[in-house]
Amino acid sequence: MTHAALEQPIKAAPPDRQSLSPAMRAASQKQLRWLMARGNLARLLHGLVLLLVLAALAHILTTLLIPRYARQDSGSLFVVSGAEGQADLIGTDVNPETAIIDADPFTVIGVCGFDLIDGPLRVRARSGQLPLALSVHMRGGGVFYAVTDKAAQRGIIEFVVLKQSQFDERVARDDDGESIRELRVVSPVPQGIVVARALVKQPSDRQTAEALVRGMACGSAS
Amino acid sequence: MAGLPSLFAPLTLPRRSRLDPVRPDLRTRYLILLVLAALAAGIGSTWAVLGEKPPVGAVKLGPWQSFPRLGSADIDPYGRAILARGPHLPLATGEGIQLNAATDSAGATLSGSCRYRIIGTTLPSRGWTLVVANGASRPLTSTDAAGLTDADVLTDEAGKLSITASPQVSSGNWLRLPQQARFELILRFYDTPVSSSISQLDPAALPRIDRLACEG
Repeated sequence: MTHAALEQPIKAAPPDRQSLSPAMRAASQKQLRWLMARGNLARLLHGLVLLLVLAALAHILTTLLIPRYARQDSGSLFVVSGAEGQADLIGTDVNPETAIIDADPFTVIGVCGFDLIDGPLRVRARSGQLPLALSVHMRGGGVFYAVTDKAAQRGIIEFVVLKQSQFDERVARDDDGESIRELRVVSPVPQGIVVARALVKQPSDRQTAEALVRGMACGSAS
Repeated sequence: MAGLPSLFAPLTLPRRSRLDPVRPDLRTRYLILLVLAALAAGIGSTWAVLGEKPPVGAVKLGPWQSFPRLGSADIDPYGRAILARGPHLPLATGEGIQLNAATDSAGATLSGSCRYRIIGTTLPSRGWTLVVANGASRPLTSTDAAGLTDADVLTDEAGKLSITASPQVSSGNWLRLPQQARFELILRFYDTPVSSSISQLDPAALPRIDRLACEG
């Protein structure tokens, strides 16, 4: 091999830009711009998709977590109401923090809070001349039981709120063949409130309604 | 799963290179900005959606609107979140139903500068109330309290009611409205047999809200 042959490059060098024809140079620049635009567009689309996915996750998480950490909802505010075994009247006080936001001014409302970890709760109310309804609201939202005074037996509405495990225990304790005279309502959550609501059609009915609602008794059913 | 790597490509941390020291910082900044923007959009959209009424679950009956699931065990997450934001006690299914109207029967927003006639039949119930609330569905303060119960209203022989709602006193059944302000009407039926089947209700079973005249 001659010295001149050794000095030759092994591979052909890429063509110099200057050696390209103007048409080829324009075509290569166009192709380069197109590739860059496509890359940027793909990156932008990736970013948008990620933004939407993360935003949707944040939306779902905050919606689900608000009830869990809420302290201003009825279930949290009134969970200790009725500790003396009788419903506490609410919605009539001037404290805006505990006044029911959407209360009907023609009703009187009383509540008893419950925590079934302390044992089952027995609720007992007397029906009267005014329409009365009892409902059981879960802490965190939702109502799982409601009854009106039309269902009263000899003028009394009575039921027991309990957890599934407490219900099972009670069923196991029941004697075979003996008719069970209590209405058992299984609560999906351990904490909540029992609400008594009486309709006041005339201003003169208000005191009667308050007595009716305050007459709701809530006590241990162990 | 094959598509995941390409989907999350912008999340992959760049390789540090001595030749390209600026690129990693830009990528990291881009990532932080993306997460912050997503958090802001997610939380902002939650805040926007959680108004006075849930964005889903409405039953429309003419000008009246009801959210029966708020008072049931199968309440949706939006309903739970709205109830969690303050002391609410929605009527339970079986206890009664609540209907809100922010517009008249023609679809125009209710305004205190107009006079309305609320006319038609009511649902069978132990009693009903009709209350004027502000634009946020909250009853007006006690000094401005305006409302009627079935005991206050005279009906014709067929049981049809006709109530004039206006800021000025009117003869017959009259519902006082706030002066010049936007308002809502809240109609509640207590102990009604239709509370569990409200979505099947014929809107004609509820009263219409007809606008009579407006000032200005």
